[in-house]
Amino acid sequence: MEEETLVYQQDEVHTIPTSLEELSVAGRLRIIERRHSAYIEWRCSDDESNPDNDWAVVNKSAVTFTHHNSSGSVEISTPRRHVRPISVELADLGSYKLTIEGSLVLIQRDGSTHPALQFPGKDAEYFVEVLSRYVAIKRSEKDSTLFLLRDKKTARIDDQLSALGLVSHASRGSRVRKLHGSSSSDSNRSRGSPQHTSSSQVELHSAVVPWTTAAPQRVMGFISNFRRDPYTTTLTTLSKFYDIVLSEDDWAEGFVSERGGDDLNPFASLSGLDNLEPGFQVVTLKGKLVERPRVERLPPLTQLEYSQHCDVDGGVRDPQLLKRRIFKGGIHPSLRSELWCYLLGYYDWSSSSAQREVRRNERLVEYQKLKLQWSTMTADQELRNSGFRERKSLIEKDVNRTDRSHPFYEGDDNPNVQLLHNILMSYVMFNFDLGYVQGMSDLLAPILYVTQNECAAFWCFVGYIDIVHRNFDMDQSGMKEQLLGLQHLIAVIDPEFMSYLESSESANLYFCFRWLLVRFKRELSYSDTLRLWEVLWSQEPCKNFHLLVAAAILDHERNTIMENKFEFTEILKHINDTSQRLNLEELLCSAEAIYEQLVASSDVPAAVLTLLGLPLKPSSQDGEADVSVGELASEKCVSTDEETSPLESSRIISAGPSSSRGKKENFVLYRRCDHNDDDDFLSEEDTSGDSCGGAGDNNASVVPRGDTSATDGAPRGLVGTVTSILGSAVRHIAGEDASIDLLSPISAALHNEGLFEDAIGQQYL
Amino acid sequence: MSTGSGRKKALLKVIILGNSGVGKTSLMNQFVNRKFSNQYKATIGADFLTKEVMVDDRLVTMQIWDTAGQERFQSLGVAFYRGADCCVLVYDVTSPDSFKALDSWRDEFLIQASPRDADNFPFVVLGNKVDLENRTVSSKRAQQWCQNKSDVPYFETSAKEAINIELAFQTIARNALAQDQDLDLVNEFPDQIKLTDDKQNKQDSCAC
Ligand SMILES: Nc1nc2c(ncn2[C@@H]2O[C@H](COP(=O)(O)OP(=O)(O)OP(=O)(O)O)[C@@H](O)[C@H]2O)c(=O)[nH]1
Ligand SMILES: [Mg+2]
Repeated sequence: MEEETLVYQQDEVHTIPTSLEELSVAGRLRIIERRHSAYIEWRCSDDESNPDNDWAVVNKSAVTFTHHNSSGSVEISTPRRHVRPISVELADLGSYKLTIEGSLVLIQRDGSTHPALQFPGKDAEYFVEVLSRYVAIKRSEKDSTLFLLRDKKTARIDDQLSALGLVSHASRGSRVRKLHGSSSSDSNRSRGSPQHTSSSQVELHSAVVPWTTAAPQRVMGFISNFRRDPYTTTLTTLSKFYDIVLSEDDWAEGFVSERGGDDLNPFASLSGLDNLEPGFQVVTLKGKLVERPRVERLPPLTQLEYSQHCDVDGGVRDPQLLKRRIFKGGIHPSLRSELWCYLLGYYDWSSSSAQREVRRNERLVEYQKLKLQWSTMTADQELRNSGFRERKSLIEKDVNRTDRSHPFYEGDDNPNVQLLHNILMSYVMFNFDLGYVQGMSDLLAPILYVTQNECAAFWCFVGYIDIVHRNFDMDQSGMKEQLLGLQHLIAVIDPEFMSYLESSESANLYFCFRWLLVRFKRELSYSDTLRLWEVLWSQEPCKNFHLLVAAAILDHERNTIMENKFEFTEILKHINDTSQRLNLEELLCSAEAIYEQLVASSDVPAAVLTLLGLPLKPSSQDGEADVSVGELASEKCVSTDEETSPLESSRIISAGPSSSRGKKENFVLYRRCDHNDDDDFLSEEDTSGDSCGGAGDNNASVVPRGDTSATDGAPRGLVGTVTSILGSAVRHIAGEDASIDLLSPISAALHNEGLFEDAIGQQYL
Repeated sequence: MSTGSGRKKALLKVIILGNSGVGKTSLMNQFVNRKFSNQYKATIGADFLTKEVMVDDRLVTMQIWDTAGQERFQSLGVAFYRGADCCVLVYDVTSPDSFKALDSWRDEFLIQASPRDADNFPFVVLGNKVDLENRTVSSKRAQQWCQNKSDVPYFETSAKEAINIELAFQTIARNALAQDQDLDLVNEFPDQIKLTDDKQNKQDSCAC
């Protein structure tokens, strides 16, 4: 055994349940010195197994277990032992969240985020004191519960440097981020915190080295990305370029003086650039959004209240009013099995009890027919039907791993698992083209659990798939559209965060994929999933409310993500790890508040209004009928420019003078708007949609100012080089000159004063 | 009193690929957490687990990526291939289809990850679920395939019974580390960049 020194120990540190179903588990928190490192460890008190320290890194949140009785109305919990222990080497700990209530969340540098722990007596003071012997702790300015950790040596050098005034704080900060926050995953290995590179070196110096040696990879990476997706790669690179430019303190000042006494706020154009988003329309808000209102939610709809909504025949008098009520508070569990049938279109709202009886009987006959179709298929027939075989085998695999920890589906030979299978197989016969796609079993399981009836569950499932079928498009276009819609939203709600995501190659929001595919089911406890879904099915207060829920989660995590300087990999990990730890009621409040905020604000871009199915406001309707985000922006961007657009039909994506360490050259990036791609709003019932990536079909060109031909001659300076490369790149996309050799400006640059290394060092590529 | 700042840990990125249901998630969890559970869910999106291991006296961190196996979701998975140091191809010994799919998983990986030296990029093949009775893909057939792909290491595993997991992942770690060090070497001599290097992998990935 290795030798250990125990430096801190606290018993009765509990896990914090995030839902009613979960039970708090007590454990022991310790700080231990082992060899040359210190570790924070937490272990469940009654976890006598695993005495060895094999849990190198613990990745998942504590598993929660629940017991429901079969009616689903009462939920009792039993604690399970073997809640995952936590063990984090201090050098790997990037930050922690600590509230005044004494709840602690450990967040690692790689994004791994541990379940919240509760200190007894709400007192974490001594823990923090011991911790501060090892690391420098700094409270976040944006989030008072977030504490960022740095290696002590690094922190000291940092402080000395800034005391000397050699490096200005702002630009230094941004440089460090650039240097350490590698973006493409191929540089993962050299990633790490400052203290990992070399303790004997001044941080700035030591940090430069890896980037220079990583140069070849970065070049190759850029080129291969470019081949794969020229449009995005080009613009991502450009946007990073802006990021650097914007982070230069002197630039903003220079810009102000350059522009002289113009009446425009110099920062108006800055915010325009900040909003650069994928798809690369600039969303320039003329005015800020109004403040987000406080929103209250109601308790769930009860039987008594529901009966007041019904007429004598048992029909619902005012479905809209009832749906609004369901949106505000959800449905009491005892009412769910009935009301879900309405929400999912199995029953008509206006139907009387008698009519519903008829409907049930008709639908039962139909369901049984479908069931016969697959259950009577002979082995021989199957042999000749590969489409059927594939779907069948997927279903068999998936039902066996769907919610098996939930009591309703638990255990070997659970008959409810067979019911899931039957319903999904029948759905294959009902809609053979869509068939079965992974994720569907996740959507079905809660429905069967609530309805407790095979036939009703089938028809409710049909109704649910009608709503979300675009999630299962063969080419994933429905998912891509939703992610794009979410980007639009974030860009409006939180431009700063969007531009952060942009600069860390995360603007694609892939880490939200799972949220959207199964409507947050994997992120929430069972009872919260049921609650969220009925809220979403109410179709109140607008279209695509689920995207507002996603935006609310991101809003909740944005400070943690930005202050930890997380990039794509770390964000994904952090987001995955917040699963099962969301507070649904809080999220629903913020999602609704964001909705109210957007409704009350003028100047919300048309794309976002359309996304939510809100009426276009007069202010956004002036001009042509075809109002798009980019056009709103272009007025502003053009006016920040001394020259007017050389291309009549151009829409400016972004524009601005740029500078980099004294080498100045201005450029403007245009995209033609002869092809309208801003109207890709999401319609849940909509059938169209061959918007598949669309990387290649955007016409764009980079035009260096005062030199319309980017490849002619040799533009000097770093900016010139990058502009020239990107210029050819974009022309290439635009198909203007298919013969252009993309590599030549790059290789030329390589022989040119090491400029390319420069570009790499600065992470332009 | 040190936080271990002088030490440099290598980070090895490993991608596990294979058809849906072959046991990728189970293998990863068996290796990292030493547990098998029939409560794992079908993977949606992507996730990774990390584990520190010793490779020949060197402490390395393995970052093991697990993505969804269903074809439809592959356009998402490819976003995570980049920068991999080793690719693990998994098939299910009771499913010939999953074995046949190895070729396309390998090809897709090479196209999307575009490693510098595609011919020598380390792959490891795992034939999983050997604990089951109804085996339909013979060892010989699998070994043959691996030989044809310039001697890819092959292991027969069971995530359920924890058969060969340690051994397989040791090899994965060792080969990934070798790949990682190769890259470091190359990077010390930037002159060696050949811009045309990845031309053979050129392919348009847009599915339109
Ligand atoms: N008997 C046996 N079953 C296994 C083994 N490994 C996995 N399974 C089972 O096979 C099924 C699929 O396993 P997963 O690990 O979820 O498969 P996957 O490759 O991650 O699948 P996707 O996430 O859909 O891509 C589960 O029901 C597992 O319990 C094994 O070694 N032996
Ligand atoms: Mg999986």
